[in-house]
Amino acid sequence: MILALKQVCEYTVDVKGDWKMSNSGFLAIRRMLALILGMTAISAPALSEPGNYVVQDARPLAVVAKYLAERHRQRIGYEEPPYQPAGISSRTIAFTVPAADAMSVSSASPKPSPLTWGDLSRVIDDYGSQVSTERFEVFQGDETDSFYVAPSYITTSRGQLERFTPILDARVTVQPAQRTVLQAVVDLCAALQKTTGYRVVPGTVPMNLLVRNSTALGADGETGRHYLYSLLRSLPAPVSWELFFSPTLNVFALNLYILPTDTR
Amino acid sequence: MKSTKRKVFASLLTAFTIALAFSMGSGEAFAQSQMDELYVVAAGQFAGTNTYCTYAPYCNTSTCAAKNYNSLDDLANVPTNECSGDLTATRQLGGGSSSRTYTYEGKFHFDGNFTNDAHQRNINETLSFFVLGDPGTSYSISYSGNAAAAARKGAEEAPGCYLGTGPGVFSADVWSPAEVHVRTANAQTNVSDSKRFGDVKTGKTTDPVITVAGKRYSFAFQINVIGHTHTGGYCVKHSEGEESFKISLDVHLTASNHCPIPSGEQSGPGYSWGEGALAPAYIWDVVLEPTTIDFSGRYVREIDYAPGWDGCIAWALTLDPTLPLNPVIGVSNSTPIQVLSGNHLPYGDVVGTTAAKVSLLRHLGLQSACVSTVYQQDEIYCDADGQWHPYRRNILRYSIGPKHVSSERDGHRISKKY
Repeated sequence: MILALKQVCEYTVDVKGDWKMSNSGFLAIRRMLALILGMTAISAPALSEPGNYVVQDARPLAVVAKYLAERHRQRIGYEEPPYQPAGISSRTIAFTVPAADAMSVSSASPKPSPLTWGDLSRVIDDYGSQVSTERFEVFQGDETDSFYVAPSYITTSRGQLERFTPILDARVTVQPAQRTVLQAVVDLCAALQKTTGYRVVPGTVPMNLLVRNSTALGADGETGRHYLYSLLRSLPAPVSWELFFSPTLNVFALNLYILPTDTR
Repeated sequence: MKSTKRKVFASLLTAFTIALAFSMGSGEAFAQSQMDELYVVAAGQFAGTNTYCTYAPYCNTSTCAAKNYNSLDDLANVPTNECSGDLTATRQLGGGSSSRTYTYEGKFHFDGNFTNDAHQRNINETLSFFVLGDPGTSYSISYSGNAAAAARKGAEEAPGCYLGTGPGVFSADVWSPAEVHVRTANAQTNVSDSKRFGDVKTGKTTDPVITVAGKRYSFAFQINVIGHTHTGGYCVKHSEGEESFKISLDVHLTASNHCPIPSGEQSGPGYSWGEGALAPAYIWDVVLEPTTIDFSGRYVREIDYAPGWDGCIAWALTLDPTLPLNPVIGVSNSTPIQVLSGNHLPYGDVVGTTAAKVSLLRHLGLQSACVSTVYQQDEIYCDADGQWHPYRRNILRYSIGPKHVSSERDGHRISKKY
């Protein structure tokens, strides 16, 4: 799945250590996947300077989006199109990752400054300059400091690049009722499936967090993403999302993950 | 303050202030939050007397005011008048967390004549410190403070009668927690002194046990507070002066050995399998141990003590490199939750996966059970030191087979056909 996120530029050991402390979850993922692939753990990027990173993965843009979301504690949703089987495979993509706040390197609170739309756009531009089978764009989220990366063009079965409306832009209706947030996510997926015709299921989600919190929120013709934002905001921990598509299984899976917080 | 003149007695202007202020400053007497680890009970007596009146009926020989109380929040028992003068006493009580600040200030002002009088105000009370938990709970409590005394004598006109005269004397004493004594001379004078004190008390709590807001506290140690003021004179036509003492005390429950930490937890199959999307997951009932200690109201959380391993996703990725699922490599809720009565956690611990995930993996041709493992560390928050304390490590594991699913927590395993 994820092969490597490797920094090309120079950085110091101290900076590496600081980054590791603030991104334990991401490191854990990398370690595990490195083990899967028989590799040693990959190097940590620097915080204080922009760096060029090479990501080899079937979803390189998702890797960078999640890395930035965890580094900056910002919701940065990532959404995929319904790839053709040939449209998704392991790729090696070079990114220039935006700089973090230099102050955070020595600060007790390692939270870097918030990313801007422009920061993420440059990452998308990097991807777009190396991949021509689909195009992604960065959109402002429902919150001032949140964004999502979603497909705007995909290569169809006819081999043509065509405009695509992201799955979570679909309007959904979910009856208001008291339920766990997990059940609300299940209902959202069912509503998206009903509207789009694609199979949409809950992916890997923080189950205990979603089961232990309830909501009465419903959706009345709003976008699936807007409803998702409402659900995530009702949780006591910051959560972001990844909507992945598997052409093999012909299914979208809505994955949720908890962003690091300064209280850990 | 106000003064009252009588035929024989000098006017007596008294102010006696008892102040107890606690660092949390809740404004309510010893209000206990659910996070309190330290509790204080005060018991003692205030007594105002005129003990050397030998020429009755020109003076009052009785004990003017004596009040016993067994709790510092017993406001009704604070004397409100004493002898011929007025006594005003106020208390500000509060509490919370693991730190307490205590201040006791007594002040007596005299402006009048002496026949043969000795006005005394005595405060003698005991502060008993209790620690959350049953007897046997380890504690480490440090305290430090300051004891101060002061006296002032102003202008004096004597003799006041035909028997000769004994000049007015104004004195103040603190006997405990530290000794400080001051006494005015015959002439106009100001005197003052103070002394610092402090100690660290460690040990295990004992009986008695008190229950506050449903939580049990056992006795740790006590501090005696003894203060005294004295105003006396013999055949003085007019004298003016005052005496005062002030005792300040800071008490802290330190480190973590005072803070009850669970010895472990029961991870019994007290709940059930989930329903709907949660059908392949088991919800484990969790009870903190020992059950003889009440942990209700405390906060617990779970974190990872090592990266987990999702063998199910690893297996699936070999068949579908575009698998749309992330691996499960850690606990799924580090938000603190509050322990309920009976030491139950308000929610069961969900160990397992969703129906959709089982379906997708089986669609890829799952032939034998795959296993996902998470390494969970349970921690409890100690308000006294502001730290999270680990008390348990559990291995959480679930497996998905072609026709069965299982859930495992801390060595307990349950499976079902699914």
